[in-house]
Amino acid sequence: MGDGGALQGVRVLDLSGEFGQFCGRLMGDHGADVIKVEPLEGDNVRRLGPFYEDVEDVDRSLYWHAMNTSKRSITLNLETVQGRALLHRLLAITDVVVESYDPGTLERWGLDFNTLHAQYPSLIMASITPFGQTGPYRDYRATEMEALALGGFMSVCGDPDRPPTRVGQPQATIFSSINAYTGAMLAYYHRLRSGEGQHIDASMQEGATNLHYAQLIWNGYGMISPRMGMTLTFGGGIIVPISYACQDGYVQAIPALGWDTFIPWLDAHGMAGDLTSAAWQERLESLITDWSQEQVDYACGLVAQFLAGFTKKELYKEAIRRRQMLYPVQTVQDARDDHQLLERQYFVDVDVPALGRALTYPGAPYRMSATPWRIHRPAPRLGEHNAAIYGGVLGLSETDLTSLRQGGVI
Amino acid sequence: MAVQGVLHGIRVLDFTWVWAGPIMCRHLADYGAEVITIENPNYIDLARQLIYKDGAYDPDMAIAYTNFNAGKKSLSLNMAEPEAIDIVKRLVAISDVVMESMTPKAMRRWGLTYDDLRQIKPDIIMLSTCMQGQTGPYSMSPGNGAILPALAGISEVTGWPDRGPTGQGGPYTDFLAGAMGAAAVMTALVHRERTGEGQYIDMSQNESAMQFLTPAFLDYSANGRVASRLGNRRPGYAPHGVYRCAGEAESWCTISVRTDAEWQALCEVMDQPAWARDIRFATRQSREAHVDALDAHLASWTGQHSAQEVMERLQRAGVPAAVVQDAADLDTDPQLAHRQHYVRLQHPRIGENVVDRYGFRLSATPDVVQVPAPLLGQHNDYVLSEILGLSQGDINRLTTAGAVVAVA
Repeated sequence: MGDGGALQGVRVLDLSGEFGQFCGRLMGDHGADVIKVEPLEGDNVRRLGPFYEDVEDVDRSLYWHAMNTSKRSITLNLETVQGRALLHRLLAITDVVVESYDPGTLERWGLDFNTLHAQYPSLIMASITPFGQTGPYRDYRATEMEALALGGFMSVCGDPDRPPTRVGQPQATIFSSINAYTGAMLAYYHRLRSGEGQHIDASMQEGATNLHYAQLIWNGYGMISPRMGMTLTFGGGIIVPISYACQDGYVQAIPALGWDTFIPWLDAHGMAGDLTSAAWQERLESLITDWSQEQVDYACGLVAQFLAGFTKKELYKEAIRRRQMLYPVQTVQDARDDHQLLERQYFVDVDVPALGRALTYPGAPYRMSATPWRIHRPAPRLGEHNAAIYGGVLGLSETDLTSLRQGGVI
Repeated sequence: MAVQGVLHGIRVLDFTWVWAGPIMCRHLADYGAEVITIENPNYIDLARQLIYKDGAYDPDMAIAYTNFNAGKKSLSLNMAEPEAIDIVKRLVAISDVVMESMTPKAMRRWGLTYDDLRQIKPDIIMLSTCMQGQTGPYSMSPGNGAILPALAGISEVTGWPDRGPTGQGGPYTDFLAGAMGAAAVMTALVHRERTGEGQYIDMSQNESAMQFLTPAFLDYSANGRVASRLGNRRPGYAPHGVYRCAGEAESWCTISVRTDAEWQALCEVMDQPAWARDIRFATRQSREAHVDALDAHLASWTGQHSAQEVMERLQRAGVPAAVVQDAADLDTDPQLAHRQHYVRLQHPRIGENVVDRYGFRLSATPDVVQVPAPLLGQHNDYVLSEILGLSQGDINRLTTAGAVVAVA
């Protein structure tokens, strides 16, 4: 049982768009049989870049490939009565539905959770939307950036002298998809014990509130957290820089947490300045909150001068050896070359016939000893499995399929 | 509607601390599991040393701790004492999940590795989380969630193209790991429910975090392109940014446009300004190519209106736009209020303690956040006498021996 993944045998219909696809992917990577249901023209994510060789094509979206491994694809027009009837035939043999439609859409189609629950009482539905299924912002339009903004995350992300910003790759979609997945696992656990299905309602705005702790500062001190850039504030208002330019990029370090290992490192290169003097030795043993900002600036200035002379790789290697808390600011290229990740065989090559080549993916988010995570198949081509599922699973004939195609149903 | 939480009957031993691990465990507590956090007053959780409502240090008054540990029970043991380890082993025999977030040598030193624990309870589920995983040349390297985003590739893509990387406002990868770890534990619980089999989970927070950059990794694999900082821009969207709005205090609104319909609606809300008719802004591709000019024009419009007004007018027209809210705004946000996202708990020392829920709701077996975080060692008697059946004499002896640390 374990080899097929923890969710082997679980059947999932993934109706979701950008906001929910990582949820379906995680289920598939854990061995569930995930059918991605797409509109006839293909899911919108297929039109989002980056694209393989920068050629826009329904099978070349790398964003699509990132969010949809371990799934099969069928096309289905849910705007048609026949399309919804076909969906019902699939629902009858489905355990979990994942969806991210604008709230109200499924109601229009008679496919909302409450309606489906009456017919399929064990069915689990996981919905991922920017604000949730109900409430004053229910119909608000949003990309993941709006969710991050309304969730308070952007107010603390970035430099004090620049506008609020975000991570330059979509985050809230993946984060909420993981939340929805956890909710679905709780629901499935409950179903195993009781037979009862239920609805998981995941909100990207709420997820965004869990990506920072400005709320704790507000509740504790009545203070609005400013953007701190790459600095840490210690008690007494002492500001300590964390990011340091080096020869080929940046490293991040918190020397204040390890002067006893950092100073010998500086000193070995003759760059410790006054820090080895008796006066400084005494100061270095006290809490940094007791220093003046000038003293902090002096010590960190020496650190900055030192780090500037080396490459990321040189500094990281030596930091490991000296057990110093320092990380390079890695690019994706650096990560692909990272010694620890290579030793752990983290990256996974997936053959992608649609592109005529393999793609190298980040590997398991966590390693399970009995039921390992695994990419079971590449992200599917548009409608790649229409014959296998409509024909093979539902038993429709070639004539049926032709008629459905002509009718704009599949 | 279930009366008890869906995880009622599940017992979790929690050896985690600070953010990532406690967040994972709190998910389980929210859904009804009994989570016993094992604390050593000589090595106090950093979270018990941060953010005090009244300013003075007190391990029981730290809001940083109470937010991430609501609903748990606290047992104070000195794990350096062999009898403390015996107590833990007796608890393992009647527990389902063990969570830990120390460096890999700690559980080994205590004889509490997964191999040890499964001798006691064959179907135990154990999750270990640390910066870079349980194996490999860097598994023992010191690290910190404040700088792990650098190693994970996230810092490289956060900030502005004309300067170095910036921070995400906190230990960002800890929050990612918290959610990912909850997913991992629930997957293992589902597997065990289906088959009776437990297992070990080795979670590297670095490896977990890199999942959030999958499209960038594929872009590198397929195209050799190395992603870096974009500010608030996003390929395929124009405009896509953050714009300064009117008002004496700093205030901002996001605007994100992908389709022609959204662009036309935006122009309509702005009263069809002449600049918007410029051929450079006619198509999305062209707008992307002239994004500096586009952003400057938009900012001169948003600068005349409050962020709230920009958001409401654009939303009415079907254009994605959002106020960049701060913590005070979240407190009064109507959508979060509707969802009852912030819970007001009564904490015995702090008084009113606002705790946030996680970003999803279950309809039949909802999360219940009602019990505040524990005081240090608050549940020593409960765990030792009610769960393990030790006599008061035993407990006194163990306390004198230093295995159990009494709390006044």
